[in-house]
Amino acid sequence: MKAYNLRLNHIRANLYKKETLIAVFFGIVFFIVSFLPRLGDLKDGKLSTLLACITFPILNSYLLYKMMSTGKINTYRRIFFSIYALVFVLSFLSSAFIERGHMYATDRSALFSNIPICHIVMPVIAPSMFLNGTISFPGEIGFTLELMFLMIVIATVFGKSFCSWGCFFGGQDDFFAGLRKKPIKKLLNVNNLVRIFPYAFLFFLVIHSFATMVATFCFYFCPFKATTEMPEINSIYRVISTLIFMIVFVVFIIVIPYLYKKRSFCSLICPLGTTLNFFNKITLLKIDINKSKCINHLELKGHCTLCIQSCPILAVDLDSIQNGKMLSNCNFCTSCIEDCPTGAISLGIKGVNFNNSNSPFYDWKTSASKIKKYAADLIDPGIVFPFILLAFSTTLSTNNLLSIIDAFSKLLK
Amino acid sequence: MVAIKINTRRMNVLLIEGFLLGLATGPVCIGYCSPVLIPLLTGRSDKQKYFAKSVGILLQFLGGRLVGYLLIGLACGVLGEKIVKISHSTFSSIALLLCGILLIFNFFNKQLLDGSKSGCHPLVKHFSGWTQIVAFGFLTGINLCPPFLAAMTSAALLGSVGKSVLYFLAFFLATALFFPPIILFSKFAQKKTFQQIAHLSMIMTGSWFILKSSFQLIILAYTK
Repeated sequence: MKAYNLRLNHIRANLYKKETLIAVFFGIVFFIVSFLPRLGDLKDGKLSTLLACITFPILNSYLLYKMMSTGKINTYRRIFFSIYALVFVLSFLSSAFIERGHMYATDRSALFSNIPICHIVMPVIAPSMFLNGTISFPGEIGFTLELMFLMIVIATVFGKSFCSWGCFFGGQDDFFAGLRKKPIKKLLNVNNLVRIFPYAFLFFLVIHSFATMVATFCFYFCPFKATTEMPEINSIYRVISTLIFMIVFVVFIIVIPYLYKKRSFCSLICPLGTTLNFFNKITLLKIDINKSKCINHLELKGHCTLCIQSCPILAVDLDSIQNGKMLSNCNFCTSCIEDCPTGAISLGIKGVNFNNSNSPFYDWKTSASKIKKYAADLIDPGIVFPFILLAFSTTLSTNNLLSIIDAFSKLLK
Repeated sequence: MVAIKINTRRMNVLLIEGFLLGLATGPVCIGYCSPVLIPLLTGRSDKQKYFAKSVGILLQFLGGRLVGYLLIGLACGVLGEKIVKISHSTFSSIALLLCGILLIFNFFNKQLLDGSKSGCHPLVKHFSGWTQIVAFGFLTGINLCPPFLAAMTSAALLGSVGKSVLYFLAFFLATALFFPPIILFSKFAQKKTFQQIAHLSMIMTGSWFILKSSFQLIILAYTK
């Protein structure tokens, strides 16, 4: 408890003094990104658009304020992320029910490429797309290319953070991983087989999809079919694949995350998540472990390990603490930052030392000028990073919410 | 009339046709063989002369494929149009099942390509090294992928054993041209992590082949 208070004091003293004002400023930006694409509808006086456009900017700016004022970035990220996932599922299902009267992806919709491309499967279909010029997914090739380009840009800038801030599927296992206070068993040392499993599975999926011209992951392993759209069950194959979907969903989205507090689907199975590990090598974002503050380095090795326990995707172990950095599968959820009792872990930018007294940033933070202090806060990665990712998600959530409202209004009519 | 024209086709035209079909469908052949060949190339623990050994593995694999192709060519020539009546699905499923079993077998025999056989089951000692790689090539070769079926249909209409075999030989030569770039994967054989990934994907592929082919065979038996 003492260590916890120390950490909070550290955060409050150093970073988040003017959090309210900053949250209002960012809230205005959220409003702008939410309203701008829908100005036409607003001019027509659509109440549903207005409602959708104000909900997430208010919610996200409040969560951003709480992140800044309490320092519990991960706690409020998880709330946002779970709501984000739930809204996506509801919007998807409501649209499917309105359009088709059921949640099945029919053979007809597959034939006419009516199924929206899923970002999870992109690494699996990319090789055949670029080498054979064909797409092994019943989606539109143009939109797939646009989405691929967007994903590469996001991953290059933000690394794997998409998995904890932007993926509307990730919120599902993240929600279950956050339900229990303690896991049934602490996973401190993970077998090397578990570490290489995601790469082997990705390798398996890619070469199989290339070989058979079928999106193997979608057809046989995707657990999110259970919450979005099931394939139409019209053959024995579909019965088997549906069974596999349900088993993977129950085991990897509900049971393992709930029992072990680990996002098992995102860290072991998701092809996109594994692919984004490579982008963590080139992104400028980083999470540092300050050895001088870490209890493990204060000759108390084995007595803390809170960061290892809190990481939901197994991105930190004793060796990585020793090396002062996260493993390559870190998705910047900031749970380790939040749970570290001494504030030894921080979000940063490669090549920039924000706490170095020689850096201009440090001068701004310690300056007597209020404007410089505000400016220092505004460019702090611990604030800017959640803000940009929340802004990105605000636009998507607004879209989803709008489709839910539209679906319900159609139902009521 | 069409059959007569095909039967009297000149040899060079026949070879060019088989070769062109192979060139056109080569990437698909690579796709069908890569789940087996890539783990074989990368999942090795030998550190020396990895490039030369990779070339050796590829040649053994292609040798197995050639035997498979020539046998199918022979069968097409002998059986002619009757071969179309044979259930391709059953044939493919059996080849896939055998390939899956062989992959699992390979996984449990990690020393296979090192030349060291100590501690292995006697069966493994007799069936390892080049024989196993040739068997992989043969089984993936006779796995009836779409380009292969196209070649079979053309060869079956030729009405001559010699022509049919030659047609498949030309088809094989063209598809084989696409294989050498796969040797680039052997570069990764030097890293232990890649070897482990390849081994793990090998058992995944093997299990998948066995499951898929078993279901196919059960469904085929059930629907008959």
